[in-house]
Order: sequence, then C-alpha cells, then structure tokens
Amino acid sequence: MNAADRSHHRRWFSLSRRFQIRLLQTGVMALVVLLWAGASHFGYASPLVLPPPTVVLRELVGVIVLPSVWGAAWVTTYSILLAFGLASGIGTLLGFIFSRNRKLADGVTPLLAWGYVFPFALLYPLFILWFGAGPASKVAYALANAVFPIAFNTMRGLSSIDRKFLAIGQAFGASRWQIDWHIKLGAAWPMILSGLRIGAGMATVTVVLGEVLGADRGLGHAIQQAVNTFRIPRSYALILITMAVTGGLLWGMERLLQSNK
Amino acid sequence: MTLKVQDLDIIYPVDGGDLVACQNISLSVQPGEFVTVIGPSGCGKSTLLHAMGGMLRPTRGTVEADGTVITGPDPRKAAFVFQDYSLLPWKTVIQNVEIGLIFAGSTKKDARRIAVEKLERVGLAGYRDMYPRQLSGGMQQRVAVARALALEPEYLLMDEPFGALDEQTRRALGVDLGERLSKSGRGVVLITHSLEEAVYWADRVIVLSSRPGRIVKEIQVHGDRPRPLEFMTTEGFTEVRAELFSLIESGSSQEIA
Repeated sequence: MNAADRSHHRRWFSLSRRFQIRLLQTGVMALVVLLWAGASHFGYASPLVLPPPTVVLRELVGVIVLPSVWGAAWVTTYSILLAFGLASGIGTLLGFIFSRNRKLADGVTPLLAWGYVFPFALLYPLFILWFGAGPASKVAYALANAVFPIAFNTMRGLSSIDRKFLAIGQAFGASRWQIDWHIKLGAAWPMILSGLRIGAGMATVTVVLGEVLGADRGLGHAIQQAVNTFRIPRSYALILITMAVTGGLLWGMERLLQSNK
Repeated sequence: MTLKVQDLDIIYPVDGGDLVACQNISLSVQPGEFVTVIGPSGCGKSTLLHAMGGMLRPTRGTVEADGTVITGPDPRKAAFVFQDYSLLPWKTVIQNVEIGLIFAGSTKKDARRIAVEKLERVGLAGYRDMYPRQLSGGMQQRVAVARALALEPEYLLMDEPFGALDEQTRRALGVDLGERLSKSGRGVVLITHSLEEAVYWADRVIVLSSRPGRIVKEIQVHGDRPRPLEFMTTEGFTEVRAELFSLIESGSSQEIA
C-alpha cells in the first residue's frame, strides 16, 4: 500500500468515526424520547406532568403557525440581542476604562467579581418596579447579568499583557492609542472574547428567565401562561420553540464573535 | 550618524541595595560599522543595548546620536531586533513588518509597499499572509529583521538575535543576514554570548566584564564584509576567537572565585 492509499484510508476511517459519534448521539436522544414515551404510555408519569411526545408534537405543529407565538418569539429575540448588544458595549468600555489605571482596576475588582456571581433574580421585583412589565425590565435585568463578566474579562485581559508585546510598542514608537489598538486589543482579544461568550449565554438565559418570572410578552411569558391555565402540552411545545430560538441565537452570536478575529 | 555612549552607569534599585548593571561605559559606533558586544551572562550587555536604543534612561552618562542626547526610542535612528522575535501573533507576517511604519503614521498603502520590499530583502516574500506561529524560529527572526529594516534605521540593535535558534540555523541565518545587512550599509550593534558570532559579525568586538559590566577590551577584526562562511577558518578569526575565549574565561572564573 503506498502513502496516498494509506492517507485516503485514514481519512475514510476518521469520517466513519465522526459518523459513529453522530449515530451514538442520535441514539441517546432517541432513548430519552423513548423513555419519555414509555413513562407516559405505561402510566408512570401523569399526562398533567409529562404528556406523551406524540401529544406534544401535535401541539407543536398547532402552535408553531400561531402569529401570537411568532410575536412572542420576536420579543424574546430582540430582548436578548438588545441586552447582549448593550452589555457588550458598556462592558468592554468599562473594562477598558478600568484597565487604564491600576489603582482604579484594583479598586473595582471586588465589585466586578461580586457582580459576576450576584443572583440578580433577587432584584427582579425591583426591575419590574423600575421598568414595568414590558421588555424593558427584561433587557435591564439581562444587561445587569451579562455586563459584569464582560467588563471583568475585558479589564483583566487588558491589564495583563505580556511585557514583550508592550516593549515592541515602545521600541517602535507607538503612541498610547496605538498601543491600545494594535497591541493591547490584539493581546487581550481571547480573554475579551471569552467574556463576550459568557455574556451572550447570560443574556439569553436571563431574558427568558425574566419573562417566566413576570412579563407581559415573550416566549417565557407564553410558557408561564400555558402552565397557569393547565395547558401542559402547549407549555412543552413552547419550551421546544424557546430552545430552538435561544439555541439559534447563541449559535449566531458565537459565529459573529468568531468571525471577528 | 555616530552613536556615542559616554560615561554610562546603569544602576537598578533592588532589595537590599543597588544593582550596578553597567559601569563607566564609553564607546562609539561609526556609520555602517558592525560592533558586537560579548561578555558573561548577566554582565549587563543587554541593558547597555536597551540604553543605546533609548528604551531605558541611564543613571549617569549619556547616549548621543550625532551630538543629540537620546531620551527615548527612535526606530528611524536605531531599530531593535529582540531575542525572542517578539512578533505579534495575532497579526500576519506582513502586518508585523508594517507595524513600525503604521506607528510612524505612514499610509496603509505606503506601509504595505515598503513591507513587501523588506520581506523580499530577507527572503520571505512568499510568506506575507501567514501567521508567525506557522513559521520556524529562524524565519520569525527574519520577519523581525524586516520589521526593523522597514523604518530605514541607521543602526540595527540586535539583542542576541540568534540565541533561541539551533546551531545549524543560527550559523546559516547569521551568514545570510550578515551579508544582507553588510550590503545595506547600515550599522549594527549585536549582543551575543557566542564567541564565533562575536568575531564573525564584528568590525570591532567589545568585551564586557562580569557584573558590574565594564569594558575590558576592544578588539578590531580585520576582513571585508560580507564575509563568506570560510572566514571562520582563517587565522585572523581563530586568533581573535582565542583571545576572546581567554578574556571571558578569566572573567567568569573570577566570578566563581
């Protein structure tokens, strides 16, 4: 067997390996659905708690064509994008300003670290009080959650640059802004990016959570309403739609962040 | 332009006293001249080079370029080539070469044109859109040299530029760059701890003592540049090399004793 044959052989093998993994993953999913169907079919789970998959599927087909559901999906989508956009802008700007001054950075570090882990859900009633039951309170709530990891990572990334890169700036006569733009931003980018990723996830989860906790629009609100009126199959169908929407958004934001560098 | 160091002392404050890195150093480098600085490790030769390029302020004494005291780095007068290449890994090869020109306010078009020309000069024309990590150590150092050359400096300040390379690459790159830089007519100050490199590159070798670094001796090396690799087998080369060897050996044995 010559080298070309061998490499061809290896490639075929790796393709089939990837296929095997996909098959395994599909199998696990199918098993979960099968257990779900079995549990409802044999009466282990009350249809009030867990309706059979066939019922949920039928409900999904019925719900997905409703303009109200599309409207709710749109409200959720723009709330997430707005919260993430604002958190990215404000977070990176704050991180940049803090990184400019070591004393300031040291001073705000505990605040940022604390804001990173603070359960803002506790303040949710206050957000409703301040911004009303409309999307504004959800955006503000998600913004509060997402801005801290972004600001924190940006600040840390920008204030821990390898000295040899800064020496290049100095040796080749860069101004302060040129060092910021050409050197610090490039060196800190992986860290800023990871902050933005965490922020994207935070914004997505917290917007939906806020809608469930109390809202007058959005997918979370629709799920909450379905549960309140005991339309359990509908709530599961809406959960599936919410997963698809948020999953798609996260995927899109991830793509956007990656194409940036 | 003549690069002149006068009565230079560099002292770092450290825990429990002062660390004298360089003491009473005076030297000058003529336009187009290749000067190498050699000495035991920790003798302050790298510190001296940084001071010559305006990267740090001397505690006493001055560094002058044609009579004007240097107070900060000016890559058009003297551009650095560092030991660890220090290319920016998130920029492509060509962007790395352009960086000094961009800092100096050149237009993108001009910077690109000059960078392409300098990359050709170091034999890397085909690698312009690659990232530094895709290149070998020797190629990365060529890029660093092109980056320095892009500013048309009168001197290149090279801080152990081949220190991180293996023996073979080191010699081949040394001969190649030595030839290219000789033809360019620029002056070079090269820090090294390799005896061979110190002699091969030099019109004049400056030997520093172990800490605090003082000038022990200056030795002229005769022979026109660019020099072929065979220069290392000539009698002139071997003599200077032997003299350097004994100077540095006695220096470091003192340090141990």
